[in-house]
Amino acid sequence: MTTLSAPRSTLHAPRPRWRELGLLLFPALLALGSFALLTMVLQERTPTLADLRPALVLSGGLLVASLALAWQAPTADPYLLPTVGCLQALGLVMTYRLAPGLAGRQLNWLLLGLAAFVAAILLMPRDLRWLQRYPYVWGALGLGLLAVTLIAGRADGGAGPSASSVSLGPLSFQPPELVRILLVVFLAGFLERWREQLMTPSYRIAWGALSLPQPQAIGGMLIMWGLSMAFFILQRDLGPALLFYGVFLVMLYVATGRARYVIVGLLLFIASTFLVVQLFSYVRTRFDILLDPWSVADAAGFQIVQGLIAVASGGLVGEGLGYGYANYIPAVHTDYIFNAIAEEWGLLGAFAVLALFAVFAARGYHIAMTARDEFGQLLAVGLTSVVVLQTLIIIGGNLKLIPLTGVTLSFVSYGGSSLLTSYMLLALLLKIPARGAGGGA
Amino acid sequence: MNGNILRVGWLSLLTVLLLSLGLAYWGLVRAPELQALPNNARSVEFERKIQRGRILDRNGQVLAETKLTPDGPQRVYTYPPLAPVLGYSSLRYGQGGVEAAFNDELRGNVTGDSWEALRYKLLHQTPVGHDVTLTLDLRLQQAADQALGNRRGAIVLTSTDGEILAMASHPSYDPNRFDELFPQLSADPAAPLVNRATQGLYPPGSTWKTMTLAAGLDSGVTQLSRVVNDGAETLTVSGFPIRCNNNPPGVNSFDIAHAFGWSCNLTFARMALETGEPRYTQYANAFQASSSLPLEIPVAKAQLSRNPLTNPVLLASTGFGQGELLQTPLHMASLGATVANDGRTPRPHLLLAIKDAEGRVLRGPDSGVLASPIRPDSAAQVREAMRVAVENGYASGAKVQGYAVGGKTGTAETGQATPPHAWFLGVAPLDEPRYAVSVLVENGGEGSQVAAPLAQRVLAAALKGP
Repeated sequence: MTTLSAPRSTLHAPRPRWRELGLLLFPALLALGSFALLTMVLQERTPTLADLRPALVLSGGLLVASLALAWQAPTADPYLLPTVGCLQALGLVMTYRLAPGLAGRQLNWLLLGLAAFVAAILLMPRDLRWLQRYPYVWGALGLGLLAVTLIAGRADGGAGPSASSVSLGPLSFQPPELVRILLVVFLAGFLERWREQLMTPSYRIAWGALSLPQPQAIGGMLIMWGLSMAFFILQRDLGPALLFYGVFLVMLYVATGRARYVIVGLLLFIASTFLVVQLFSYVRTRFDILLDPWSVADAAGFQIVQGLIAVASGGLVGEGLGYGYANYIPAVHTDYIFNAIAEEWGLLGAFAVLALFAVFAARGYHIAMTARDEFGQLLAVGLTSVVVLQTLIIIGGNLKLIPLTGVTLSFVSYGGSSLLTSYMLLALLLKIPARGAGGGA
Repeated sequence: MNGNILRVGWLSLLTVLLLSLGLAYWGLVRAPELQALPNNARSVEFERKIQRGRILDRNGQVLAETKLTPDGPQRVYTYPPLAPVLGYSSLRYGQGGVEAAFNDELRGNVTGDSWEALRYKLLHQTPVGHDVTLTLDLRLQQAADQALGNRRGAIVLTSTDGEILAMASHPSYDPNRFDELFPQLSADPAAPLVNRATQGLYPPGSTWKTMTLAAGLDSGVTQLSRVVNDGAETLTVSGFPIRCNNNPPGVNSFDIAHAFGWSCNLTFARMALETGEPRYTQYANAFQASSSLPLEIPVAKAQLSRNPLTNPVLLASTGFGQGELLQTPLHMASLGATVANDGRTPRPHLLLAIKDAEGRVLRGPDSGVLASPIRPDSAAQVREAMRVAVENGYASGAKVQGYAVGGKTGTAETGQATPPHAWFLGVAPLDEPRYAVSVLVENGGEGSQVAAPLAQRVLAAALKGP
């Protein structure tokens, strides 16, 4: 095939990606300005170079990431890295603002994340066949990680008694974050292989009055549904289960074009969620709070009510960085960073965050539409959907549209595992070969 | 497959749009309601940022100031006995007293639609409140507090132009521990939170004879030099016998000035009846006896009588200070100030000036004359009677060496079971009046024994200077 052309292209002198570099000025200036402002507001002094260190680290990291792309993925999308950079700049400054004690650790995770990104860009083969070839290996690896988490895991002290992190020496890592990528890789390989069969006409029973989906689709759906529900019940958190299942449904739809699968799958999920809510009091409490947080505003509804008050207090242009009181929201740096942004940066700032995620979605799905092969297309859809669904689930919870769940806002929330996996996800997304691009057929 | 991806893409943009709508709903539509929730601590946080202005005495001595500590602002009261007057400023319980009266100014006018409020919001400056300088003189206040000591009661010292120089109300409390003490303070039967000088309503007893005398002289029904033989008489009004009660044994014939000095009930009952209705009520009301005096802090509405004074028994007993009379120590001080000020009632006030942090004067005192209930010559004659009371009568306990002091004692009956309230009303110096003082000791006993010496100490401090 094209194995010979790949090494040849690396012989070309890498050319800087000027458009990307130009756009990276936005996150760099945003970070530098924000950290300077934060020092002036919170510490009431002129910022020194040391105060700007996180902004410089981020800017430098993004620059290196762009150069790595220029070398090993010169035709990759030039908008995603600046978009992610802006979200990251905002997230980093808000972490320093809201949880200064944890900010140093977050900066280390950011360095680790950017290093993983650069390493992945430089070391991953241009061709993704190594991912495509053995989908079940990735699936099994994901399941194994999940099992380890559930067995050896411990509550992370976040939004609920969910066992989702494991200690690796001094580091605490949350495997479910990584499992999301493994799941997408598995599903992309699986669906690419079974796509044709899934699209052939359905079995008709009862003289054609009823039609059943393909057994493969039913089987896959049932397995995914079972895993999600098991995960939901064991972890007692709807968010990750909803994310897994949602990504699966989106990929299934894209692979088959059958809205019916999605509808049946969603009904199955809603019905079983309803059942779980009835059976488990802990989960039911969350739904009760969603319906009426006001009557328990001093107790169980405190977090959500304080979160909404923060949004209301910001107004259109916000109180200004450092002038808000979002620290009244419990776990604000992990679960409610969006509301803290709304208070200090105003509705305009919060709309900007939503717009950045919209740009991420648009560019992610654009990569999917221009990917060279079906596996790449499905992979891009899955990876993009992970970020999009995560955003919908957490911000939807923050705004009391759905129950609040322990899912992070990618690139923005505090949390090392999320950050690391998000950059790995981004690297993978940017490495998906496009039609007619260098190294392509 | 690209069509499917495109649909997924549009769907995701649609959901992001839904999130935007949710954001606008909470951030714009429901925002006022959410911000007003009692769970919103931001208003308290805003208060905590304010460098509340100081409260100073007339000489610039600090009475209250806000110190910024790592735990937030701390209101420090350097002279705790003033607590019932100055009040408190608490994030939990709000404000009281002077702190409440000038709350907006002490906070620097940083709320509402003022320019200061807008400036603060835009620039996030730490609001600095204005300083409130009071008419109080810390030295005289200390004299009043020391004089009153552990007794329950009140002392008001005012200048003839209405400046409150000292206002003591006991028992007091430690305003520096207000949040912690409030539950027990509010339940305390001794009512330490109440400013007795302005909120305490008491029968004024014989000090009220000053008003009856003023009305009698001004209306012409009596003269100071008129001699009466009331010492052994009994006046029966509608079957109710009234005697002199207080004259020295064997002294049965005396002029009106001495009747005042010896506090002869009969003489003043008859004087009230001779003044008659509605004239007596008109004089009393011109002395604010049925009003709440205008002061920066709340003053209770005084009562001349519940029933009309057309009832002769009620009019007669009101004449010597019983009946249904209820007056505050401030009202009695105001009566004294009117007599001292040639018959013109000065508007009582606590505020001397409000200055911003740069020292610019933003507001001066609310002074002036409230009313002129009697002519200057009538006032001069009342002062003469008060001089006699101190020199030859029961008010001798208020004598200050080297100064001419006028006064009137009062012993107000409170019922069979409880001791009477001890009162004193004083004016000094008589040659050129500058001060009026009223002293009340709740259930203290005889005014001449208990209240007059306290007035003496306060007047001596005022007259002799530092």
